[in-house]
Amino acid sequence: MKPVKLEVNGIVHEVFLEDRTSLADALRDDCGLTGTRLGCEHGVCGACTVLVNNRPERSCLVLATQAEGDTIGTIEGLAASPTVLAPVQQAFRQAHGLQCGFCTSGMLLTAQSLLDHDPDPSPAVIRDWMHGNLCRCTGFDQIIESVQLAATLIKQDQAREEELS
Amino acid sequence: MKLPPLSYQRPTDLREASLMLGSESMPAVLAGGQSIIPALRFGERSESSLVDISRLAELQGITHADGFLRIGAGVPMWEVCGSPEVATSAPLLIRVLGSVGAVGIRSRATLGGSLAWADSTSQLPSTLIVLNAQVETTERILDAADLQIGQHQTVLRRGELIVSIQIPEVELTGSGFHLIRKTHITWPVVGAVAVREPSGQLRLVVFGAAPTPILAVGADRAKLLSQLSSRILPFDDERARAGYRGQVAPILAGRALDEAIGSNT
Ligand SMILES: Cc1cc2nc3c(=O)[nH]c(=O)nc-3n(C[C@H](O)[C@H](O)[C@H](O)COP(=O)(O)OP(=O)(O)OC[C@H]3O[C@@H](n4cnc5c(N)ncnc54)[C@H](O)[C@@H]3O)c2cc1C
Ligand code: FES
Ligand code: FES
Repeated sequence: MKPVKLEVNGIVHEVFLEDRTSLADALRDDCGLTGTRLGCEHGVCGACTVLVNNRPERSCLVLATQAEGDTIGTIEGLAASPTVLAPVQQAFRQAHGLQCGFCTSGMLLTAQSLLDHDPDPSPAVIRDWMHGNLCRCTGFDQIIESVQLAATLIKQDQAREEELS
Repeated sequence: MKLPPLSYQRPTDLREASLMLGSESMPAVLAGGQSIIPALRFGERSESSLVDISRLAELQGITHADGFLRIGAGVPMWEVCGSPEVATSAPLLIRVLGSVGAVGIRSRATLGGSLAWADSTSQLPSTLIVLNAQVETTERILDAADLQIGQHQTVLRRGELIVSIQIPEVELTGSGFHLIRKTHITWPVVGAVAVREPSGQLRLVVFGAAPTPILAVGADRAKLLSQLSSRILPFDDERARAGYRGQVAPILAGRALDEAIGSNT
């Protein structure tokens, strides 16, 4: 066991971990952030996706100790406050982008990262980004539509902010 | 499945990495971790210590040098895909990278790791071979075509690290790439990649049809395909049967050649 400092959603967590602990397990078991889901634990499903330095990564394939010094973002940090939904969350809700919700944390973080890198993605780009996240219930068309709606909502928010300022 | 107990070390430079890798505990190299971590989880690999080379400055960077595009072995595929240098000098590599895993895997996986992992069904070593790339290691310079000698087997010695991949900056007059896979997130079953050089010479590499990539070079499409047919040694795995691979490989090779002959990129 050794001390590891993980910066998650802007807060530094000091935890004691074995070297073999994955980032996913550290987030869930040691930081108490259970919004990150574990599906396959070998890189295929994308349920465990978190943002590391603003890139989507599979937290089951990263050791927690490797992530020391990185900026980690999880589903718990996506919305600005506990009572407001982030635009991607709002869009998935409105466009029926989820059913059981198991894949949703990973879906939302991948979608958020996509829209941060490309605010106006084509349907082909959306498919390319989202195909690494598997969903067993919703149907992928609604997920693609949710990401398109999220892009629109973010643009509307920005236009509103510009009008106010 | 959880990882078995293991120890983790992060060297600060190549020299320290070599010392660690030479130690008696026989550590494995950890680059992007997108192949070695699943293999350790499944018990397909049994090393109990890891040396993390992903932050070594010597393995980073994408530069032009002496007529070559030099890509650090530790550069994540994500950065290779986004690099204007690669887009100009080796657009085929970006096209092929787009078919590897998913964005959330390419964010960490590296070209050095892909070459060292040496999976016969991977499209990446084959693409580097078709581009006539050289592989710089801590000990020597190898042709990419000479690196792999079997499924998951390379000529790399213990402790020898891939430092960079060097792709000659030749203006190609055509390229083609075709593969079959079961889903977009699974490894290829079989595929082919081809280029046409300004002299009219064609280079074709087929993957997933033998324990190592099959390279054929020449100016004549028909001769290349007959060279290929004598070298196909297909195998069974969980994704496909040998018979299927043997049948499909020449068809994909023909399509990759046709695309290379007919296209202008
Ligand atoms: C779900 C999923 C789908 C995937 N799909 C594809 C696919 O379609 N096609 C494909 O090609 N790959 C695919 N990959 C694999 C991905 O491209 C690999 O991770 C990559 O091949 C290995 O790179 P890495 O940096 O992750 O290496 P690691 O996993 O860190 O290491 C792999 C091996 O290489 C050695 N090594 C690493 N770097 C070096 C170096 N510089 N010098 C010497 N030895 C080194 C290590 O010791 C280890 O044995 C997929 C992976 C996943 C999880
Ligand atoms: S749990 Fe990590 S990819 Fe499935
Ligand atoms: S909503 Fe159930 S797995 Fe995607």
